[in-house]
Amino acid sequence: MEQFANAKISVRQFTILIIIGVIGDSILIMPTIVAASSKQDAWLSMAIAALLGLVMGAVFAAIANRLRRQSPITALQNRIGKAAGGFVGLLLLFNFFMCALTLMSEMSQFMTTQMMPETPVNAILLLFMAVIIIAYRYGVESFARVSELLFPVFLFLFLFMVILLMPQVDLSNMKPILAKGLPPVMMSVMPAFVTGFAEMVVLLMLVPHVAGKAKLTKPILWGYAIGGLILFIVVDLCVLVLGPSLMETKYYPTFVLAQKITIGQFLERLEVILMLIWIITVFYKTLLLFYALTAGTAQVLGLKESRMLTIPYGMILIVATIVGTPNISEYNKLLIYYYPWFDTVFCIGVPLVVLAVLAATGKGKASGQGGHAQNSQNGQNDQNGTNP
Amino acid sequence: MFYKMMVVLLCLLMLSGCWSRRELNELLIVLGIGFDWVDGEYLVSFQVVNPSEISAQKRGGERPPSTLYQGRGKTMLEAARSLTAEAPRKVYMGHLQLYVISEELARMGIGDFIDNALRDNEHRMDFKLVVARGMRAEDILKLYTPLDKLPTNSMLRSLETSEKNWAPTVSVTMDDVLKKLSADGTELALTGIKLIGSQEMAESKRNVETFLPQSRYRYKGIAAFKGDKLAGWLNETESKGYTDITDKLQSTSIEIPCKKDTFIGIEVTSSNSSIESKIVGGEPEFTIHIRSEGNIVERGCRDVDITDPATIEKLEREADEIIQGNAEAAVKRAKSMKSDFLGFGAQLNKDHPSVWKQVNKDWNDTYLPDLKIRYKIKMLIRKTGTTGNSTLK
Repeated sequence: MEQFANAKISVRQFTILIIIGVIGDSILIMPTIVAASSKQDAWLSMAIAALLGLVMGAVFAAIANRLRRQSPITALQNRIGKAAGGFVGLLLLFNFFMCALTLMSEMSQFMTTQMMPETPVNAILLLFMAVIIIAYRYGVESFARVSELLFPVFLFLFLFMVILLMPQVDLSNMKPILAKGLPPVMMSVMPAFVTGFAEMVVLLMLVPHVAGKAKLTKPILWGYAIGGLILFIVVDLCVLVLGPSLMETKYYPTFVLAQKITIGQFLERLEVILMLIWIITVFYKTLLLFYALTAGTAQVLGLKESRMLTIPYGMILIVATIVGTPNISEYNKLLIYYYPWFDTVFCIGVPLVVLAVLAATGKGKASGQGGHAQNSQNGQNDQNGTNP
Repeated sequence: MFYKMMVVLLCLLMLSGCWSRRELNELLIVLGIGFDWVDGEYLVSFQVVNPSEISAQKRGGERPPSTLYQGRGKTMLEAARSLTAEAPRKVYMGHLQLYVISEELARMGIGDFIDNALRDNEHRMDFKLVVARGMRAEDILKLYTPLDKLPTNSMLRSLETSEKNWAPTVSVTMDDVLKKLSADGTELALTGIKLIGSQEMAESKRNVETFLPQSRYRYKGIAAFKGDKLAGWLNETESKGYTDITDKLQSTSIEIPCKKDTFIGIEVTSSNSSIESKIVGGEPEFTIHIRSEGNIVERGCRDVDITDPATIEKLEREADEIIQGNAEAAVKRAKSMKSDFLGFGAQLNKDHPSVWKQVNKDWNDTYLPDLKIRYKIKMLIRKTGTTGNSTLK
């Protein structure tokens, strides 16, 4: 852990990581999830989910501001004692683990269904995990900087796709609006909201590394707003170009969307290039979760070194992914019927508990035992900053 | 050092590329698929490219430009795989252009066997579907065509061109089929294709060695579906009405009779249409709007003075009547078939979802046959070519 203790990322990098994280795997699966019950009103569900996402972002920002640049786990341990803080920390870690697992599963399924049907998932998972472990070992600073480099690539490809799809937009796909009333629309809001926005609770683990002492409300809300907007555009395009039935039928509507691009019979078959969009975002979300999982474990257990955890965790994740999601039907059932509830408990419930504890224990007591918390230096700085 | 070398060597061995790669020369590129139902099994005919025959550098000529491989099976995959017993490579669907369904199979229902095309990752959703009218699908794919060496290519382009420039055909892609078969209040319609001339001649290269190929394909009529089953064929007038109402048409030709057996030819250059639904006294009513623009391209009667604005107006009204006649024919057919291929129900759902909810159960059987439909048709003649009245006497 030593080498990361003083790792600093800029506020800008923090925002970009949040944007990419929010988009994450949602860009692939969100259209199917929202279309499942709201059909052609999917865009409406998505808009409501994105607004709720902002509320969630505000909650996370409230937590982040109270952390005083400590990781939530360290902060809790400092305030309510090692055991109780560690327990809440373990709940968070469990959530990161499960979330990383679903992302890995999604990634491998996407690659094997759309691109490389004959390649075994193990091979894809192994390589994907290897890259994540390598990224982790380079440290937060490096991968945050790379995200800053990749973000323009992502934006360019995304805009490229959006603009080239404009000729195919058919407004009548949206009608009738609210044919079955509001309930089916609201039904879709919930899974969209939790998978897209609540899961980004992982951003709290990045807080200790954000440079400066400024409040984090603005970057977090911006991240959520931009991420939500991009997801909204994707869902919107799916409705307008593909229509609800194709959106609901296909597992990966965004991929079909990319296939739809044909400009003058020569600019077509671009889906493989546009796949880079999804690879970037899914990779980063998984990386953030893996980072949170590994660094968090080290914090709970008070380890000095977290690198040695990477390979065991990688191995556990790969096996758990293969065992936990044996086939795509089971995975989708899990994702649509059970996972939203899991997320509600662990991504909304647990953070609210954290917030309550932080608010209750309030000021003054913070980082009294900075001696073995790895962020002692920041903690002290913060203390100096807040209590002059 | 040794350790590093070993790692590098191992990498070379382990990471030598993807094992599911398929080089170009290992692909059997399928352009067209024909579906038939024979002895309780699918007979699937894959028309594949013969790469050496269509390459630009070498002049081929000894062999046909494409080869037909056939496989039988209870599923698509079984049929596709069974043909490897006679083909040197495995089929690749990424460039599929045309999907020909035999009429027999279309009447049995297409919902089940197109599932594979929706599911498979090699199929893009952009190929077109047609119905082999009154014949087997495999026969359509065994044809030497002039100009375009690849018959499917020729058929595809002809379908696309004729949809835009000649009324009675529609080019329907796979994703349209999915949309139509999933949606409420609208039915599928596919174009029919048939072979003219002798089958024997079609399969022989002599077919393209004459000025007028004895055997050729021709798109003929539109097959209207009810659910996923073919319910009947529209004739040419009804087909024209169909493409007119559903706004597929861009350009076509209208002939206005002026004397016995002579006509004035009008080229429609653009056409827009929409269906409007209204609720009058609780009952749905529809108005079909068609607005076309066109030019006079042929004056078959020399005594018609087309320099006179009044004549133009008169011709416009007569063209309106012809367009309306086509539309009425299509509507009449939809009513008698009880198949809403024109999409009135879907339009009602879009405009008045609450009304649609009450009527959608027995829309086709109860409401459709007695539907009140009005026509608002406006044809505008803009130009008369490069001349006014010619000086011919």
